[in-house]
Amino acid sequence: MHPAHPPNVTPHGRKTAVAPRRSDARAAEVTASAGGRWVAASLLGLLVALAAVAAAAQPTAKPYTAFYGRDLSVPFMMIGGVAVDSLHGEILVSDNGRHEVAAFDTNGVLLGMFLHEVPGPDGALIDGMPSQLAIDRRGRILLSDQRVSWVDVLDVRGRPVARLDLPAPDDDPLKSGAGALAVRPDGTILVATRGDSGRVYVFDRDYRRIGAWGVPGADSGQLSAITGIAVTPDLRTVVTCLKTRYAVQIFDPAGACLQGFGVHDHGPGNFSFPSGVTVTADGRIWVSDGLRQVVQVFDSAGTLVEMVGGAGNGPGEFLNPCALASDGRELLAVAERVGNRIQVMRAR
Amino acid sequence: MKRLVLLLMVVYLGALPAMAVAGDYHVGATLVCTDCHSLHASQSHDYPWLGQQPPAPVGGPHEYLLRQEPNALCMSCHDGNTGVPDVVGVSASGATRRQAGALTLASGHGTNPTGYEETDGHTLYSALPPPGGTGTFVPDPVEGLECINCHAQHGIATQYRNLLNRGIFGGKSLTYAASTNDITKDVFERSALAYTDQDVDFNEPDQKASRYANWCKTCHTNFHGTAGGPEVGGQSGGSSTEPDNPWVRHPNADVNIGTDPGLSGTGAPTDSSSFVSSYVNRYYTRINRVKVMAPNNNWLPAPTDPRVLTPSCFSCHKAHGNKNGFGLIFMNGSTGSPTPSEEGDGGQYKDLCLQCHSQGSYALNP
Repeated sequence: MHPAHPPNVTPHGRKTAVAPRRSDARAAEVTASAGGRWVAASLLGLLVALAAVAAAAQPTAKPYTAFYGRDLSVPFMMIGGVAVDSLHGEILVSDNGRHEVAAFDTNGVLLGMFLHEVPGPDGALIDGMPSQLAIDRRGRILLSDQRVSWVDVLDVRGRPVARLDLPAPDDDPLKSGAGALAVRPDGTILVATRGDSGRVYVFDRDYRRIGAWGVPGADSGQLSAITGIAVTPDLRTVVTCLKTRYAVQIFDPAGACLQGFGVHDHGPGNFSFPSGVTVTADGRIWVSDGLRQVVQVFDSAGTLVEMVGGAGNGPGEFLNPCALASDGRELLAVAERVGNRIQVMRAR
Repeated sequence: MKRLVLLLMVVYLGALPAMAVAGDYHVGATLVCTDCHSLHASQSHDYPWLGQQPPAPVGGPHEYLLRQEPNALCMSCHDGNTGVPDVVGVSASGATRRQAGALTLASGHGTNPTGYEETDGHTLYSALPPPGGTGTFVPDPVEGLECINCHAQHGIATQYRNLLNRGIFGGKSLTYAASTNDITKDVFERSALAYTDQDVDFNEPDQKASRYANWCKTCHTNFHGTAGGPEVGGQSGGSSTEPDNPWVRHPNADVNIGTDPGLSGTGAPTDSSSFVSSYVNRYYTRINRVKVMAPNNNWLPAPTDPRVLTPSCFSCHKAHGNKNGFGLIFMNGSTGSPTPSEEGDGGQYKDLCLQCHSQGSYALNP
């Protein structure tokens, strides 16, 4: 009697395919189908993962265009500030070296400009030093000037419409005065002081002062040497300071400090010279650093997402970024003081 | 263990410097190393595919692993920003009365604002020898004049404006007091972070010498030497009257200018009547005055004894410069003079002369 052998082995020892039984065939068919779907799902998952990695590896802001002044023969002299007028699709740039404000379309084509003059010590008009800009809900231009303490409200042609005066002690342009500007969705205007004074004044949409908050100082929750101010979609106020413990601080609408992040130390998420801030529609907070030549991007909770830029004059690089602006959606404008240009970028 | 960690965190966070606090002028924990230095000069490119882009230096590698060349690095903060003293051209904060005035940039290194010329004071990147210099210092032919030729980039706690006291300035102290004066110090800042001419005054710890002038003449020799020397004339101990050697320039050493009998020609003046036409009395009557040194915390003493006031370099020049040639301050200061700026309140050099001197037709018809 021959010894038993496995069904797939001939008496001669050769392996043969086992003829599946009907039930085995069905089981195999099910198995094969399931295996194929598994492979397909795995491949799909791998593709998705690769796509995600690729997307994550792409810069958060993609350079779109850049412009250097009215034209190549009339470059910017000393960019003070930048604002995006989403209503008219324009980018406004203040040039305190040329004492003017110029408007460009999003492709960098000059649309117009106007000289900004302010009263001198003897009352006669003199060339101003326009700096920070914002656009209010009526499309008017809010402009602070380093020679005066107030904010000028101007129409699109640069003609004065109103003035936002600051009370003492912030009415002395040599010690304080209006600096960074922001506008809330309801039209409320926030005016941050410049210099070591650390206060934020609140004006309603009819340009009446309705309040103020902020305690000058260097500790957490205090303000000093404010370089930028922006409003998040959920109406919190983001303020960047040069001389406080945290470079970036977030306040509620009443001015109570909610959180701060970014200290004066090396490493991602920290700062050497926070020079400007803006917020996009998704709540991401963009903060420029004029010494590190980067824009750092944080989520709405203050967690670092990415650093954009690096030193240079190529697309997506910066030379002393000094101001940021956004249309509230995906368009970003980055002003560079040494690069002497405005870079327009698309936030991803 | 948790408590220890928490305690250590509190200590660590408490030790972190506030964001770029001025007032201690770069000294101690004010700045962080990586603000200006790059750990590895190889960080000259960014990494677009990693998502994280480390801050890359501009060009380079630069000396001492700096992120940029020295002047550009200094100007990253000190030009065009409102939160730090702006020392180049027009002030970003709108200040029009900076005690030191404004630097300019040599051709090819930026555009100077309207009104500022390279001959109007210290010019960054300029390779020219200093006016009056005898070779003690000449800027590097390639890099030109740099901020760090005069200022200590890491600060010197005791020196006014971090001016150097080493190298060619070895041993030349220029001390200062802030908020509360100390007449043994050379400079008085009326408040911390004071940069305007209204907030800075100059003491005279040694009435026969100006340490401020002694510092400046390290490079700018041959201008205001010592009494009895060819640059100044006069006699050691002081005399400007004929037939003794007259002064040819304002002395800044060896003589107490205020007590010189030559002021009135009739001996050392002791009462106000002797000062009717004297230099110091004329200065006293000015509405706007240039800066002078005073030994007794009083820069406008009683008319009976204005002799104690002494001019020095800063009386006539802005340390950095202004819109006038050589940084001269055209300060007339007569009745009705406008509020002065960094250039003074007048239009020409004769206005400066008239701060103290009264001769010439311009004195009668300015």
